[in-house]
Amino acid sequence: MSQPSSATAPVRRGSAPAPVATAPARVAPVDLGATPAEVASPAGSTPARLRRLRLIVVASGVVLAILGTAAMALLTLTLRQAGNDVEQLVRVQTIETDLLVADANATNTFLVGGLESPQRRAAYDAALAEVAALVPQAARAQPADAAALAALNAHVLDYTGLVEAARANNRQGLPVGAQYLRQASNGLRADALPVADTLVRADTERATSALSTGWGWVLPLLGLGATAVFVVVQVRVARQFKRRVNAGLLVGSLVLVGLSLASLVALVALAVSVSAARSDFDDVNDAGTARVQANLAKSSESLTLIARGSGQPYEDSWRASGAQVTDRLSGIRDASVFTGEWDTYAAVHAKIRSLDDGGSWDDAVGLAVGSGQGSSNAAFAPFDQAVASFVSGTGAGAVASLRGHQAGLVLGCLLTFLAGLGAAWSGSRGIAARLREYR
Amino acid sequence: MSARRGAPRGLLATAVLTLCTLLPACAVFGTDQTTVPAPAASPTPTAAAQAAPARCADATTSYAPSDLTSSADLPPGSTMAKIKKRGRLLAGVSADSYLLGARDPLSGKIQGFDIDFVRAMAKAILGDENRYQLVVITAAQRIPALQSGQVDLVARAMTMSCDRWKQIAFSSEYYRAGQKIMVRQGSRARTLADLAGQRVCAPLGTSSMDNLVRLQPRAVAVGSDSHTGCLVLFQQGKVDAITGDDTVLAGLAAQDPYAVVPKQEPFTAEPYGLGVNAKNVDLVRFVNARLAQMRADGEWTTIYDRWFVGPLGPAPAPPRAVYGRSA
Repeated sequence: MSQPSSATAPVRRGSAPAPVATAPARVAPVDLGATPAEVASPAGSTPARLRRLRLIVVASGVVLAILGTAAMALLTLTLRQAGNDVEQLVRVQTIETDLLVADANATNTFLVGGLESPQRRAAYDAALAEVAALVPQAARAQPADAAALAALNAHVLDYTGLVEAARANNRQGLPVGAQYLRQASNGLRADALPVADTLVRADTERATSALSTGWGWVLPLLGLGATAVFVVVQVRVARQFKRRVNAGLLVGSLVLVGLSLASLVALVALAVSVSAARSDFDDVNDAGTARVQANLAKSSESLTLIARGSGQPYEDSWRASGAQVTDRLSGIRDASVFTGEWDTYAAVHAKIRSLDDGGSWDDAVGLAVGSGQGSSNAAFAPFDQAVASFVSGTGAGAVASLRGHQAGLVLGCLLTFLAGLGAAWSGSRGIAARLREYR
Repeated sequence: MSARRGAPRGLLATAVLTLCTLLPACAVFGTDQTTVPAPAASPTPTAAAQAAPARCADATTSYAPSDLTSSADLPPGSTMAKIKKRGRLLAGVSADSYLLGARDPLSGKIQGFDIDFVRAMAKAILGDENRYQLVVITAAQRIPALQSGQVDLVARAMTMSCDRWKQIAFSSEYYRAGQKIMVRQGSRARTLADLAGQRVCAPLGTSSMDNLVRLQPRAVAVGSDSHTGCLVLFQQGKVDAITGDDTVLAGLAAQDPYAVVPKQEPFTAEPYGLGVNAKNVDLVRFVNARLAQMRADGEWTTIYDRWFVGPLGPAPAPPRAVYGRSA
């Protein structure tokens, strides 16, 4: 749509004659001798410029509609993924904890002898049943974890097979049962736990990178950019016409300013909420890891006693786990309850160690396998339960808060799209009104 | 006219640029696979050729026995007096060598032929056969445990050898075992020579493993941390045979009806001695005095009958003590 001069373009539909009609109104007092460039062909250039401005206005509105909506959609999907990732992290941490709970119960039972306590057996079965349910669930929820979960599953099968062999031999009073149990525990630590650790690490990274409002901030930027375009066009149009204000462009600008401000306010609110969810997630991660380490320590306690005098490596492992528990708990808000309960258990453990080191192996075992007042199991249970319910509660809270924004975000996508198109339409109408004056 | 086109082109360029910056966001949906860590490599058996054991004529020669004083009258400053002061005898034993030293899953107590000798020594030193503390060790930990002072005594089917005499001291011989092979029911192997090309298990750091590598280099030697560990591998089909002392094999065969010890001549002589720190010669002399008493008064035979009369047949005469080593 480029014409060298509009006067020689009668072929153009509709608007071609318009410049002729309006020309006198605009440039009446012009002296024939000194014609400024823009006035030399006044009739042709103004509508063309108006059309170009209209194109710019429409384009910026449409671009805002498309890119803004895309950014909002990305933000929506990112936050939905963040919710899923947090859920998945809780899931894989639960799997790892359950494996250690099962092992702690199996080793504890072995300390008693062939006749295992029904409670310990039930706890072992419950932990493995939960693993069996969670592994396929986790593989469905995050297909990227599927291969690692399949490998983990194979190790779990090995583990349970060995524990059953240990149990059958123990039941007959054969010492080879102890060897099967040792192989099961060592295999769990050497093969299964590294896979579980990898899963936890991968899902922590995914959740960390997804817990962000980054893409949302594109929207107010785009909105302000489009507003600026509208204002510039408005100024240009006002310069050419007597009327200062073009209603259509003004409405469009107001819509854009409204969109920018509203999205800015909403994003700030969202960022606050996401950062709260992120801090919840950090707590869940810390508490979940603390629970994994605590159960590892509990199983090490039994293995130290089983090794009977040559269990120093297991006691070293208990110390390392204990240090991690304390370290991770210190990262949690209001961790005093947990640290108090952990210290209670650690005190019982210290007593077991001093009994065993002092030669009273039987008393140490009594303290370790009993479930009465002051026993290791009785001291450990409240800590484990408190952390478990904190992890599942806080994790579910974070996920719910992330999911709670979904409806608002979808509405935001829709409004962004409508606002962009609406601004384009309104601006276009505003300029069209001026163009009509040339008809 | 190109100037007029400038604005739409600029717009288009901006749009394309913006799209390009938005695209990486799609990485959110193309999640990286979680890497599966490679399973930990199982320790390769150290079937590496080991030097043939030093040959000598006096592997069973120990220190002459001292007077067997009562526990109330131990020489002051002696190792026995220190043990008495501590209140318990620390002994390194096995908890999974059935019949020799194994934990009974029903009672939770470690018991066996070796443990009965620990009890006899506890009675001699402390006046009470229950004042002992067992430290469960693997075969490979026997010498380090004595050298570090972690235990006073090792009673864990330990063969007296010239190599070991350089590091620790032994009591007089308290049992004469011999190395044999154990195979699966239906196997035609009868001797070590028949096991060429087969996978044979023995615990690492034992004379059984040394003998296997030395006498049948064509067998595939597979190591484990204990003989019971070998039995697990045997039951899992990972090895074809186990070699070890007849006492140990008797304990393994008793746990698996499909494992048989074919009728065979032992291909080595394995004199068992109680291990003691090389510095504690007074303790060795004291232990020898007690062992001499047990041989003479029939206690040795009683202990043998308690554990081995079934699987190994009636008690032979106790091994003869050889003295004459000088400190």
